[in-house]
Amino acid sequence: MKIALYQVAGDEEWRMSLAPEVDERHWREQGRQITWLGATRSIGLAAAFIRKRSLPRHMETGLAPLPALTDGDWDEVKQTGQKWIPFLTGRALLLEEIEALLLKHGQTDASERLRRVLQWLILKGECDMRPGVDSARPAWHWRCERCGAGGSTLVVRTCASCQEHCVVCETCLIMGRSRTCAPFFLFTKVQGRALGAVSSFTEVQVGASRHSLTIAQRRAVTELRGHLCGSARQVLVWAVTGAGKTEMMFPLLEEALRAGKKVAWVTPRKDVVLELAPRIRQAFNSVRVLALHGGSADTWLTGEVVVATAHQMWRFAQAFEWMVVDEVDAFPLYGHRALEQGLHRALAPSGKQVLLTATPPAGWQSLAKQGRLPSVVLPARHHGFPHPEPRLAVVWGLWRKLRRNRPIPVVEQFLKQVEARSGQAMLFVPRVQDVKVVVTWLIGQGWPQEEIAGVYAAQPDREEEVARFRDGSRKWLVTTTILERGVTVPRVHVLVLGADHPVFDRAGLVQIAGRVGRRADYQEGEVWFVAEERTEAQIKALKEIKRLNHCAAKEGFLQKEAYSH
Amino acid sequence: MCGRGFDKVPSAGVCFDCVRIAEEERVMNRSPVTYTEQVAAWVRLFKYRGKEGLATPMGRWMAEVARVHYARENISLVTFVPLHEERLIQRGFNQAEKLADEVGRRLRLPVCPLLVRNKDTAYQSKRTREERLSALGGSVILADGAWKRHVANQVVLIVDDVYTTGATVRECAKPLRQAGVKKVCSVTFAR
Repeated sequence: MKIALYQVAGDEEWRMSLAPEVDERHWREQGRQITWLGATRSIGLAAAFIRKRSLPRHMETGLAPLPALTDGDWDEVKQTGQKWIPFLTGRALLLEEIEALLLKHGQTDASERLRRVLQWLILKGECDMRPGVDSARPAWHWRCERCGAGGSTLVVRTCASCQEHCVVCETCLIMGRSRTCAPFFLFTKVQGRALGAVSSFTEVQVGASRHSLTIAQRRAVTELRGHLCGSARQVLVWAVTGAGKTEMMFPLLEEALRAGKKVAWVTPRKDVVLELAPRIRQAFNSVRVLALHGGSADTWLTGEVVVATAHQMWRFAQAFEWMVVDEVDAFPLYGHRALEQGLHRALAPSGKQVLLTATPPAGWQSLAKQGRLPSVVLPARHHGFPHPEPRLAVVWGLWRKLRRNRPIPVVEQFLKQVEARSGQAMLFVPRVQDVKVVVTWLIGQGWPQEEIAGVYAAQPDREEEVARFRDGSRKWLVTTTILERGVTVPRVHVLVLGADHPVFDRAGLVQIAGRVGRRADYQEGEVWFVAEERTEAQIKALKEIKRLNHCAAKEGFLQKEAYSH
Repeated sequence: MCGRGFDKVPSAGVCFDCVRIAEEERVMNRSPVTYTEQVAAWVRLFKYRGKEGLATPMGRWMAEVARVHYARENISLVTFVPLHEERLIQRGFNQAEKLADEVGRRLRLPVCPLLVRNKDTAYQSKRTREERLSALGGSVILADGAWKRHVANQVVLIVDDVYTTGATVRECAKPLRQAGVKKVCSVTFAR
């Protein structure tokens, strides 16, 4: 795409233009002269020139005569620009994404008019244009403007579009190629214009959730509300698994929506998006709730509540005043710098971020303890029963015995106990190939084959198998860590085989233990960790669960009367 | 002939698709993988999403296949299926060229852009067999720099990403044969 460079009289600054005729007209109306330098084939070259003042090799100095912009054209550009502002504001998009968005909103446009309108928006200060990848300086400073990634995921390619060596970002490639010669547009409110009140928003229907909060939850909500009124940008909510984190957020969500704020609910997992969006839709049936994930149909629509995977936040800039980040410590979000930066950019300057988790990383726990990260702790489950504490068992040569089909008394005991209590069991294993080993062992030990199922991430019929386990037609489910979060099966027991494997870290083990006893009417569920040796992760997980239970008991939440609604 | 698996070939080593093509037009093709759902996903990621880094493993695999199957052909030149200029600017790279670069590097053969497309045809991937076979007529010509004395009596290997009906490869073979190329073979990533 051609980018022209010019200077306005009485101003040192060089400016970039997508459509020179628009700039010509704009500055003439303001009574100022402009001098054109020329045009480059790539926005990256233009940006490098502005930074370094060195003429790019392929600079065409002087411009071809500009197409005349009639008064009619000019008015049309302005009107179209005004029309586009509402659905472009708060977005961060590449050119092809803008095209897709406009198409979705029924604005099919010739590329010429698109360029003119975008340039007009840039001149108005509604939009900021920069190269997709900032590669003007040495490689150490290269950065993808879209996702913030740097380092080895930025690769140099010969590019046929600009006939230069272009830097392409491979971190956010799956959402479109961000590269040096492709312009990237940030539609942010530079003048700090307040977000318009939510238009179609009339009356929020209050779902049943509000009235069924327990005392512990209500107390946490009050505390959280206090933090959100303060100056803190981020608040950590540490609630044990099964504490009802989602329900707890609903009253706050409602308040935010009433105040006309735009809200995002971000989670690292697509499954959670698919499960949560209908629940929010049901609770607030007069607002538009979008479910965004890779391949979602809602991608380019606008709505008051956005439920999205973390990757989708790359497409927003300063769009949300209230953001809930669910399962912050989960893969792929935790420790992924590009995704975290995306979340920060999507948050409005005055926005608030609520970080929800059951297992905050040690670093955050100490920050919270020091008071540097405001936090709310909810140690009790919604039904008031304590979190089940895992039992640690050591079995020598566990995998050898499993492979050779030898009896393992501890595991046998667990399985018989589950049968006696008429429950179901999830057997967690560390690696995909272990699923088969354990399934074979179970069959070899005489457990009925039709009651056993094994699942792992890449399995084609994984969802059906899990559904069969949920409805009770499978009794034993051998699984990898894919089911460690977000699964609720009422009568479940849990056995972790090989709990000493590094994939089972403290957080993972606490989450796995949290699958058990989530329903008030079945509290016989047990958690066993079977391993060849005790590891720090197992001991820490046990300690953390004990501590939270102790905390809950001390605050008096583990009593029946605290839960009379 | 076209590299289809032997379980689908009725007799004489020529499958029912190749039998329908005139003998002098046939181009021998070999591919490392069958075009399955998974392979289609890889090709999409490579070609449309633009993950150019995939050219390295894919090209390596293709070079290995070419080395084994064309050991007796004495291939002297590698070329690739051209992309129309507008499509090239839009996509930013020619996927066949990236693969050919890798194949050429592995086989230690020169890679030459011998062909250009003189009309912009729509995507082959969205057409039926009959449309594909007829749509391409005369759309590929010899490039300006490829003189006849350079290509005459050479054995040329054409590289592309996917072989479905073979129409593209045969279309590319036509101008090469007219220029006096001794033999044309092709290698594609998927068949």
